[in-house]
Amino acid sequence: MLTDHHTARRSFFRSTTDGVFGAALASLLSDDVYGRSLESSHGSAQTDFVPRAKAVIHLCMQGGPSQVDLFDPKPALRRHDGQEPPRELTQNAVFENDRRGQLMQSPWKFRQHGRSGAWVSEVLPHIAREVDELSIVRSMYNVHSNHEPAIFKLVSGQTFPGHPTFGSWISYALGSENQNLPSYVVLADPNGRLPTNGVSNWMSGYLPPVHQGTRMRAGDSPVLNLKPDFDELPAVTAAKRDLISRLDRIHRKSRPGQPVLDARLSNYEMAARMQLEATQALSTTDETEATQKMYGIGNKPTDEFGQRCLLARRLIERGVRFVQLFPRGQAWDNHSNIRTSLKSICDITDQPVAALVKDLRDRGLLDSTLIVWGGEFGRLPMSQGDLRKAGRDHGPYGFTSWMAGGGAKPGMVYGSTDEIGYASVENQVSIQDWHATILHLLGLRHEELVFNRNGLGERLTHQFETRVVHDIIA
Amino acid sequence: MWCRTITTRSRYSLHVLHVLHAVIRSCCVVVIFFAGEISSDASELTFERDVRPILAARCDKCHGARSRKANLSLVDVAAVKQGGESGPAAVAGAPDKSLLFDVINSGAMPPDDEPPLTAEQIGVVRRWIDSGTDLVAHESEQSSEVTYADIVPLMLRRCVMCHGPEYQFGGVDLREHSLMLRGGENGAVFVAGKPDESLMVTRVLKQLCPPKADIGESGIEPMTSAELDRLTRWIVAGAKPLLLAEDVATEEPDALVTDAERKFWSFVTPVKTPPPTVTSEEVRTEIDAFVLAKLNNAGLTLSVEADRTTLARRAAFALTGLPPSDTLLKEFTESEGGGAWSELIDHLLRSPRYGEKWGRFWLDLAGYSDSEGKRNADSVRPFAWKYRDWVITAFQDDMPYNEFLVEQLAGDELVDWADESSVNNDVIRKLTATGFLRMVPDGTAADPVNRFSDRMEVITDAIDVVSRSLMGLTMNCARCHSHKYDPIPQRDYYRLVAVFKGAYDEYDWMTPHAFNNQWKNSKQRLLEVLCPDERIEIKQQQQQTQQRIDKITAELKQKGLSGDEKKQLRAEQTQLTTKLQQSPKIRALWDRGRPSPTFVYRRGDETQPSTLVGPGVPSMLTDGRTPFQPVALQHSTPKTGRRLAFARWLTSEDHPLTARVIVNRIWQQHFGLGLVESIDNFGNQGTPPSHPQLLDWLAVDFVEHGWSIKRLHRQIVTSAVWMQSSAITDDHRSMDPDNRLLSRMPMRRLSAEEVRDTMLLVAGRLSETPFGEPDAVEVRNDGLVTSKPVDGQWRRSIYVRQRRKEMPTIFETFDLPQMTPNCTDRTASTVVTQSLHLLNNRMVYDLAHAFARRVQNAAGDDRPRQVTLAFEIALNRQPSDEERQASLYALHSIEQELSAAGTPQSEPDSVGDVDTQTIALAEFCHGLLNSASLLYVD
Repeated sequence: MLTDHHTARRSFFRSTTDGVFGAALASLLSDDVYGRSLESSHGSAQTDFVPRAKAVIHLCMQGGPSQVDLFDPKPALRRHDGQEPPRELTQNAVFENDRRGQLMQSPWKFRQHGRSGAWVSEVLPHIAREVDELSIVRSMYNVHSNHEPAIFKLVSGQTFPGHPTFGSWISYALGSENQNLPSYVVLADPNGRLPTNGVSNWMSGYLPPVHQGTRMRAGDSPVLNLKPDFDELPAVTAAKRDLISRLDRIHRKSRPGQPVLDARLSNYEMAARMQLEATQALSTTDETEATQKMYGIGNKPTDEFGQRCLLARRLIERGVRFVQLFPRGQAWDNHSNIRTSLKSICDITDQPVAALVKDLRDRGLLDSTLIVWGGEFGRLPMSQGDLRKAGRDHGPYGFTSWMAGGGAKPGMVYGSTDEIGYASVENQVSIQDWHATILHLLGLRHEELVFNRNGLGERLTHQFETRVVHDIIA
Repeated sequence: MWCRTITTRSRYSLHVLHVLHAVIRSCCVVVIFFAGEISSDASELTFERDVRPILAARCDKCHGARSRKANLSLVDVAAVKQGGESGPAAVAGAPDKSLLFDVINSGAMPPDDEPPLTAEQIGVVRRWIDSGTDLVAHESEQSSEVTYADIVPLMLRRCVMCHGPEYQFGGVDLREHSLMLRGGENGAVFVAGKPDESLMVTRVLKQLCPPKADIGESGIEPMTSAELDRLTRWIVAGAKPLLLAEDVATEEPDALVTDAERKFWSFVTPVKTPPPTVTSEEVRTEIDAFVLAKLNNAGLTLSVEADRTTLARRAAFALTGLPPSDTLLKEFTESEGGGAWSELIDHLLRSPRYGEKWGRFWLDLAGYSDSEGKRNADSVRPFAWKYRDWVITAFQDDMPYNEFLVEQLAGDELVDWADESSVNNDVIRKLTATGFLRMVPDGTAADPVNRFSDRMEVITDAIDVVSRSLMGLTMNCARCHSHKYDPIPQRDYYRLVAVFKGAYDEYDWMTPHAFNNQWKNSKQRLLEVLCPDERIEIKQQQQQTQQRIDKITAELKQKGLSGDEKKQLRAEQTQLTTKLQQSPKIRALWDRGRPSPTFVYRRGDETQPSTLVGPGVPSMLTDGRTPFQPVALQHSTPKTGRRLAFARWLTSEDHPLTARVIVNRIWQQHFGLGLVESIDNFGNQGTPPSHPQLLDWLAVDFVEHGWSIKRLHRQIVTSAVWMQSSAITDDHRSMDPDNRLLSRMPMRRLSAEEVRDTMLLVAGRLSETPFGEPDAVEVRNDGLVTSKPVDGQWRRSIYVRQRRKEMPTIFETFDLPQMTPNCTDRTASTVVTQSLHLLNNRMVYDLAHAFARRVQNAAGDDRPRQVTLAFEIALNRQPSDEERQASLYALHSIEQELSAAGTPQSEPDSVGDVDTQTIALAEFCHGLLNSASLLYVD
């Protein structure tokens, strides 16, 4: 419940500008961090314990990484290779299509790794080395077997667009620790091959637009319109900004008590700082050769994704709250030729992702940074298409995702799927459970992180039955 | 999940813990105490003796004989067992699965303001459910027989796609009992008592129905074994009919909504009270009297009147979304008389720019979009713009608001459009108006998202838009359960669903447009209705096109054509074929006179149909004793008349909400805050009105004077309240910080459209061409979306294509939101991306150059004259001395920097400025486009 103090705060914000922008503005003006003010206005959502994570990196592996080829070995598939899946195991199937195909063994060998002895497929050699940092959940499930609704569910808790993504919720709850950078940064494919659902993957829905993910990219102009999209002498730019500042000050002088005008002035100053800060954050030239090499920068399959994983670390270092990475297009959507198509995306992401875990640990940032890896669903254990070039179809009934750092229990394997890896059976984790657990690690109660929308208390976990998965919390 | 349980539980989490502890403690005691004799004592608990008294004392107020909240009564075992809208309240032997136990145990019930049940009482209920004796005994009395009532929803879900209103494949129609027994071409579909001889069963068993090829399309999925079992049992039992009565409002008192609940302020028809007598020169209009009375009470008064230039600029932006023209401004500022203001307002209201500005206001409410949304593909809606043009015209013509609503809600039922001979422009306009109900996101064109649940989303969104935008009600809560705060039973939500069923029917669905990934038998919701002369003309054109196509086909068959020639001919063939398919269509919603029955969906889940309901309106807005009686229309095609009846009810003069809601919205557009701040929620959770009598006065006056929106604007903008200065004083800050009392006019930032349109106007690049197909946008690789110019000019923002996934960056940056499904209250943020856009975006910079040329053409090279003129063009005023100085200084230093650099910086291609003088001027103009004076209206 809001206390009088909160009500007073709220009415102050209302009077200054409008709602949350007032909060952001007040922070700007008082040179306070963006987050702290917001924190107190959402104080009711804070849990009693100390937050474990301060920031989140979401490695959104949309497309559907195949659990039985990566983290969830199923010897039964070898034994029953080529047979129909037993009907009693596929009873959850929503569509008849989800029962088609014959069981297909994984083309890759699994081995136990690290002190924890977790099984990882040979197709992920680098991540296997970091397995003692991971908290692997093998019992995830989603509610839809098509990409679009399943991805909407993954990012926003509902199967259709319009609701804020969990990055937006986190930005809304905690703000940014760096007022010169957005709190929620998206590192999508720099060549414009966006994931399914495109820009909707980082929308803020009914939350204020400031909490929408900001797309950034390496290079000269990391954010849209960050730098002049025309040639201009720096001195001319400076003189023009000086003019704007003078005119705005004259304008403000005759309009006392309009805080929005102060915010505007601050914004123009911030624009200049952001230009500098964002450009620095999004450039990797000052990184050592060893670091670049660790991420696979300079080598063919890993170069581009390695760059972005490294940028993720740089943004986290600078206080960005939520960084979201998408591989190009739907690279994990291995309907055909899984031997080469899955291998190819593993080759692209394995080393950079492992490097990110290691690098954050080496820099002492892993404890406060939660990495979450996973797709909107996994894949069915059956074959799809011509056997010689078989792939696997979407499998929402049971799949694997993992967390690392930020208070997730290291060296953990949680939950399981059935004998063939079709459906989650033990310690099932729904998407909302997963969201609630992430919020929990950030010190937020999912029930109480609420946005009032026309009298409706909207929240990330909506009205779904939800549990925080305490077993995977360190 | 039960929302009520969850939300309350969280709020009461601490409290619940206490209760739980108490329960655990008392349970321990019970177990120890009864250890020796537990079986005999526990089984002796009876409903009448032990449980009923508890329920009577604690629950009957809402779930007793007189009131049945959530459709739940707890008066006897049968009622408990039957439960309410969320299902049975108690399950024998399973307290954990019994809602009754769950809600009292979690503390969710009794509701917020009542103390919870004692641990002892909870224990009794638990043990009674656990023993199960009463509940099981009751079961044996009740029939577990499958009845026709179970079969109807099953047929709807699994069969009527192919054997129903649209298609009767095999001569079979499964919509009604009599038709079901009639059978089809291949024999009897249902043979009473003999499932083995019933094609209905055998074809499903042999997997002939549904045909394999159709599975997965258009929501077609095989019957589940449980469903087949139900069907078989019904046939075995004789396949008997049952008279199914729809639950509709009758003359009997309504048990679900009480008269006390109907007395909430906004559910009662507004009454005009005379304005308070305030003796002050400041009072010009009734509005002023109401506002001033409250201000005086608080020890405040109205602010002084704003100066004339400010007023003209404020009025021009408020009514046309653009700054005033020079002539208009001059006429007003130079005139002395009191009539000048009125003339200025009349002029602005007559301007075609007015329809565009206020049309946009309505398009936000409707959720206007040029694309379907829902799916990544975000298909373009080719004919949505006709509805946009209809809205703009309606505002321009000041169509009375009641007619405006009736046409949008039921235009198709006002005219007999199917009678070709009677089609005229009026008929087409009325069909176009129904586009209002077609604006919500609709992904059902593609099969993966054309399941029943996806269709329900479309219907839900449409009802959400209607109830929030037009009635200020959050009806959508009642889709899954009775409204938590307002007296809206779940039943009333589905009565509203039934109102729309003649057109929006999840079991008789039409897709928004043709698409390759669609059931081959799908029908599309696009109408081709043409005036007779137009029809002839198009037919002639199409004949010509067809002839040409035939000719090409013939030519292609000839031998001896070169590859290139063939290629050329084929290209032409494709182009012509596309042209042939592109006859003008209307994105309308129309009744087809054959609605499926409407069931209440338990917890909003369409797989759990429960009570059958008929069309109706929210009971709380009626006297509760008046039936809702649509009249079926005898047009060339059958129509239920349901939406027309709804629209007439909504626009009746004594409707408690319709006028209040729109008056409040228009007020909010002018003053930033509505008189009711929660503009979408006039219910119990909404904010009470700041000036209740003023709101009601305006609402009644609005209706009394022909529902004229232009008249309402005139009333508002000629009030002293509206004409106040926006300066904030210390008194304001201390006594009216939120401006709830309207002690001043709020300063406001321009909206996204106003920012863009104003820059275009200032640069002399705004095209005034109205209407028609939306202007294209360009999407750059990095995500920048910009509208494309036509002949070096851009049209107003309302004419730019609004595709959900390709919204022009400037719109998003300045808070034009995603329409999901609509937006009734835009934020006006102040964020750094706005500054970045105005500083660094290429289009803005190009416009600054165009602006500079305009200035230079008129003022020559004289710097002071340039500065004055630039201020006049952009800000409708001369610069102050201080501003002039700052400007001249900037011009001077920029020019110096440019000269010092030697080569002039490269200029935009589209403009071609070359000399440092001109570039410096453009840089100055760019600064002016960035200034707060331009972006904020006093």
